[in-house]
Amino acid sequence: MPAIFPRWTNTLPVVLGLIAPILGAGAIFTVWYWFSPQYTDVGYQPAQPVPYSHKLHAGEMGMDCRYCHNTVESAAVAAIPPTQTCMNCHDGLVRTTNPGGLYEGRIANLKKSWETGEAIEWVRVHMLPDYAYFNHSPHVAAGVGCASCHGRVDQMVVVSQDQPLSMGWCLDCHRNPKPNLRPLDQVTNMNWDSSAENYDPDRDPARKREVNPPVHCSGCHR
Amino acid sequence: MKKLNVVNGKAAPQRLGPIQPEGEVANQVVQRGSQFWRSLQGRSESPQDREAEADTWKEFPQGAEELEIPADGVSRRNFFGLIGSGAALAGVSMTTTGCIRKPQENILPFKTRPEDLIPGKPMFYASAFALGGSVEGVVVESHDGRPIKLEGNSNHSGSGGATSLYAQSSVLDLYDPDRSRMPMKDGEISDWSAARAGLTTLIEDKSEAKGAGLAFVVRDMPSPTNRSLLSGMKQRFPQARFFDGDPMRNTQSVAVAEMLATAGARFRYSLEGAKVIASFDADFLGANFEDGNRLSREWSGTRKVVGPTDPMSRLYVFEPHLSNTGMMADHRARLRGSQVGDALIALAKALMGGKYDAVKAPPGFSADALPAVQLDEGAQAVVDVLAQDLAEAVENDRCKEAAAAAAAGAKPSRYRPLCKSAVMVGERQPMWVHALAAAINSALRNTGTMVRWRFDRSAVPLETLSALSEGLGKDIDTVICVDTNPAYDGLSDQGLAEKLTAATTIHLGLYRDETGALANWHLPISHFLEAWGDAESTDGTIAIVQPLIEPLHDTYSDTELLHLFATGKLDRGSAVLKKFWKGQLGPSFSDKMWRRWLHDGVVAGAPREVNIPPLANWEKIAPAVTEGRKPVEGMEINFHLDPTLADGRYANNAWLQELPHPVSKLAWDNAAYVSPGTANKLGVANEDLVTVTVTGGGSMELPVFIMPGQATDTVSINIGSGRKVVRWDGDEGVVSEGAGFNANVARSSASAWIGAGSVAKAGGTYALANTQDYGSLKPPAYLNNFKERPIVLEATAEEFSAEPNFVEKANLMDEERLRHLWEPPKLTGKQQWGMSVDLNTCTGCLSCVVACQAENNIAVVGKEQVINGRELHWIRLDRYYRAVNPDTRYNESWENIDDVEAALQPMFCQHCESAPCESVCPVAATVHSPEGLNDMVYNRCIGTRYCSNNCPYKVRRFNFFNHNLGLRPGDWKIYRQDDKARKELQREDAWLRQMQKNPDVTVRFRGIMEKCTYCVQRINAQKIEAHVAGKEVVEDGKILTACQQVCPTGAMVFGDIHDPDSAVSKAKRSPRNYAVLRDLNTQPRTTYLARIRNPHPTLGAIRKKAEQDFAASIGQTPASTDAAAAEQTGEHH
Repeated sequence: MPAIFPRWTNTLPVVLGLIAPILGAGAIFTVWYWFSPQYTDVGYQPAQPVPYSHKLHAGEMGMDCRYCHNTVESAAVAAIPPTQTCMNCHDGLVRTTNPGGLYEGRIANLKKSWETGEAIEWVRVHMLPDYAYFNHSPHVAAGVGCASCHGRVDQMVVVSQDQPLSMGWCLDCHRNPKPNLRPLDQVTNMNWDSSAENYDPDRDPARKREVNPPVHCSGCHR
Repeated sequence: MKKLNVVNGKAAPQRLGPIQPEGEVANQVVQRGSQFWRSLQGRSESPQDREAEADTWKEFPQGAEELEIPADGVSRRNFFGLIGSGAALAGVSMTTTGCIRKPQENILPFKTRPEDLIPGKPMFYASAFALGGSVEGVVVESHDGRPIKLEGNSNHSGSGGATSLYAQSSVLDLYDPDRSRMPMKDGEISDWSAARAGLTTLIEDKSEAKGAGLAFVVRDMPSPTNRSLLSGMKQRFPQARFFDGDPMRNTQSVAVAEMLATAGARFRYSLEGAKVIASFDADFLGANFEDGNRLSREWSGTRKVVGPTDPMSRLYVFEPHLSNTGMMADHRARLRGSQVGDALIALAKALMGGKYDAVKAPPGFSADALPAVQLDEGAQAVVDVLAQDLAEAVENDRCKEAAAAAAAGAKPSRYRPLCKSAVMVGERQPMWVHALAAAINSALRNTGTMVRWRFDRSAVPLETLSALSEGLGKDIDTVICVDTNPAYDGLSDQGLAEKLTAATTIHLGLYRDETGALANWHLPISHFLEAWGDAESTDGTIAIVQPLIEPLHDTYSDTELLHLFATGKLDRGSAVLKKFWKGQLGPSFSDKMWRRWLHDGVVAGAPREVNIPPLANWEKIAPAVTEGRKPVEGMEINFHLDPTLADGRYANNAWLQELPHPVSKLAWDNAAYVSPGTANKLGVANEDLVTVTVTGGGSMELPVFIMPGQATDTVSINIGSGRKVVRWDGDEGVVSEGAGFNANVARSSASAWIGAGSVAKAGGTYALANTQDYGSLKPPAYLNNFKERPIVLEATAEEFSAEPNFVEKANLMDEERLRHLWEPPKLTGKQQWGMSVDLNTCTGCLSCVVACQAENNIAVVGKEQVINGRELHWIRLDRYYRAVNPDTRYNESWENIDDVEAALQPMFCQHCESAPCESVCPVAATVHSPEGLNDMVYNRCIGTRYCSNNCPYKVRRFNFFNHNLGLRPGDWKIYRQDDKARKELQREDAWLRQMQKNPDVTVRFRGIMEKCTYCVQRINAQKIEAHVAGKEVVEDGKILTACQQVCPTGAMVFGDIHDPDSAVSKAKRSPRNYAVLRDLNTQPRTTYLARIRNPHPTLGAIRKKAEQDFAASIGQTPASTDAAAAEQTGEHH
């Protein structure tokens, strides 16, 4: 009786036995690594219509975050400022600069918005899914620093995403918030160093309530 | 998990199973509770019907599990329809970029942000909603400039913090893609400059002719500005005629007021402090009744009892067709529509026949002059008892006592003294019935308290549509319809559609409706959320209507257009309005004052008419009765305003079309309602088509729906269905198309509401969508170890005082026998949320269902899917029937169960502490929050539907399809239309529909389970606010769920059950508090307060005797229908 399978197939089980775990592990690694927000989202740095430099404004000039993002303490979103906020300082400059200068060139969109009333179409960097209802105000009230989630924005010329903003990352802090808490007056301080300060939120007299973040589903999903 | 035979650390008892309720009252309560049935199929206890009954127990009706996709391709109707694969294709196109990175989103800040506006935070503005003569002050929630939800304004008397279902759903009309968008001339798209030119010529011609040949068809006008513009029109066009084109207007009661007082007189009802209320076909707890919202609130104030000694009003209802009011009645007499007036005559005779000294007939009126009437025995008995009750209310001096006590500085009682009475008549009844009620109310000294009068000096006298029909043949050549639809509202003998086509017709309206389609000029008007206006309630409260958004389409408001007709100038509505109020107030008007009005939503300091006309002319009543009374022989055809569509103006509102009728629970269609006995006589069953012919009118074909509580030999039909809205592009309105049957083609002006006629089987059937024929909470009879488990508990006032703890005594399971099958979740939250629903004041008005839909982005599924039991309403308002006569209760046929009493129970997620749904979810998509919420995590749900299967309350809803198709940018592509312009239009439609969605709530996709969340977005918003303010807990009363907020009777209370001082804890401490299906030990957080009926002792005793006689005749005590129970109770005898 002739053999149905050629002889070399005898090696197949062995080869498959060796390759399959590698393939399986590879697949798992692929998903775990390349599909994770750590890989897909961190470092996202879209080009903005106006090359606004946080490094210049927040870093070198030392402007407080809340000068522009002034709704952060009272609303879910730390709103992108209206053109008006830029023009509080830049108004005079727009009128005095030379033709072909900064206001005609790199930040012409700012001038255009101011003159036409059209919105500047900023590109969103920190983007949560629609079913996650993040709210800035309780985080700021609890003393979570801006830099804890957004990184050293004062050192970014073009803003990029610093943390994965994944659910696991959120829960890491919600389960153990204390390491990420700071004095309530240091929230917007980019230079505040938790390792240097020996801060214990439980002993802070300025705090009115114990921080008790939700870890159940409807805390964030509605 | 604990072992089964150990319960709470104790050894389980040997025998499990129901125990007996303690005592006679508890036995009665259990017995009564188990006699309630929800669907006719579920009523019978005969073995052959068990299979049918088993079906009612199922979660979904037969065949609902099968996926059917219609073969006729994809049309616009599929917004509400079936689509299986299309959405998946859209998903693929989305993922081409999505694999690597989510699609780019842009943030568009303002150039200059308006003051006080915080992006992402809702803002609230006061405005007002008007329908007919009812005005409700509202507070509109606006998200980034989009109004998305209306709430009641507690400053406003017509609202009191609540709203009707119409106000709730009006926001959907704003974004309706089928709304009219541009002026149209003779069916062609035109523009405003052409329209203005055409109108100006016409107006100037008519002005020169002093208005000869000009007719205005107007709505009831609660707006003082519009009324003054109408008066101005009268000056500009002295010979013009004005017609009443509003079926919601109180024509009959106005006629009586003007007869008894003078032109411009109006009256209104009040129920504050009422002890005895008699409703003669007056569905004052329904949304169609003038001031129904306020009256519901006032009525509920007389029914909120805590202990057995608390005072409570008594409600008598005489009506042909079971209504919201009839369901709440303590005594309901099932009378033919034409006999309701007779009952009132009998009442007048009984009251003023000399038996009661306190009752003094008004001067010139004598009950002896009224014609003799013959009522059937039961109704006469109710009338006699009512007369006695009313007379006692006149005589009792509790009001005086309370006033004296208050004057003496006594501490005011928790309860307003109940010491007055009111006799109310519905608008369906002819004018003489209203006149007679006015005389009786006067005799009962109710005038000025329960029936109040006012005087409307600016009222323009209106003629009827019949007069318009006559005039159109003769001298009228031009008709201007101001937000009215006479081509639809006109009755069969008026032939208005043809006559209006022949005349020059100008139509102003939100939709291009029947009249708009035939008009020479159709002019779109703005929605009230886009326009400036004002509205005066019947009690004189004035509210300013302020716009929340610029008109979405190219429209002007009715005020602006009336101003154009009156003056020839097209001014902005805000200017017209301000000018009017400046004129009213003179120098005292200031901008500060105006801003205060806008802020509060109520006008303060407006001049009031103080000269209330004296009532006279009582001698005219008796002749009016004799002349007007028209007995109807044979079959009687009754027409009613639709309880969810009003007169048809909301027919293109998908929320209202899908809202089940409050009593019959039919969605999407109207039907010919007949009683079971009459159906047997006619030989018809549910869904059989019949031809209804009105004597002197037309005829119509529609399906039958059998409805207990309907008077014998009568048919009731709702008007308002069978509408036709035609868009500018020729498409029909996507919602109203094919929904229901137009009843106006059968009505005649002589018998517009009640008339003789005939009903004949037409052959064929028509599918009806009913939401109570499946998902019953009562297990089928073959599981008869649970047969006695009552879902609804209620007692009479007498039983309540005999046994205040009747609820506890009626438990069928010992506390220690209750066991957990699994470890219940740990509830560690500082606050524990819970709810209490008072069945004593829930009138089944359905406002909560719409409010929930608006707040929680609940999709509309369409008629086919409702038939399949796939509707998505998170609140199901269960209606239960119970046969009144004990000898018909066990009758297996449908015959003789015409007389029923009804019970209502809003049923939604009970947030069980030990939730059966959670234990079966394979992916933990439904889990418990530490604060006691049963969370539903949409993103985890894989759609196994195990949870729904395991829910004993049947409150979980599954998205079988993507009902939000087309809402995402890009999704419009799947309509697969070749026409590019059409594609563009559909994208626009989707944008419009998207604008209504609440951004705080996830819009759900196909394959997801959903259910009541206790408005977790509102809880979280308040918690965040409290936490930011440094508070640990949210104050009681800060969180109002959408259903609680809108409830006119305050039947729903939500809050923290761990706080003993919270309103909900107080409510739950009532002895009436009970949990539905408590014996399953699900430990629901939503509990109910058992209903207390308040029958008159005389009638109550008669009924009790009948029950006992019947029980004796079949050899059973009332509480022992099954053998085991009979054994046990036999020992007591």
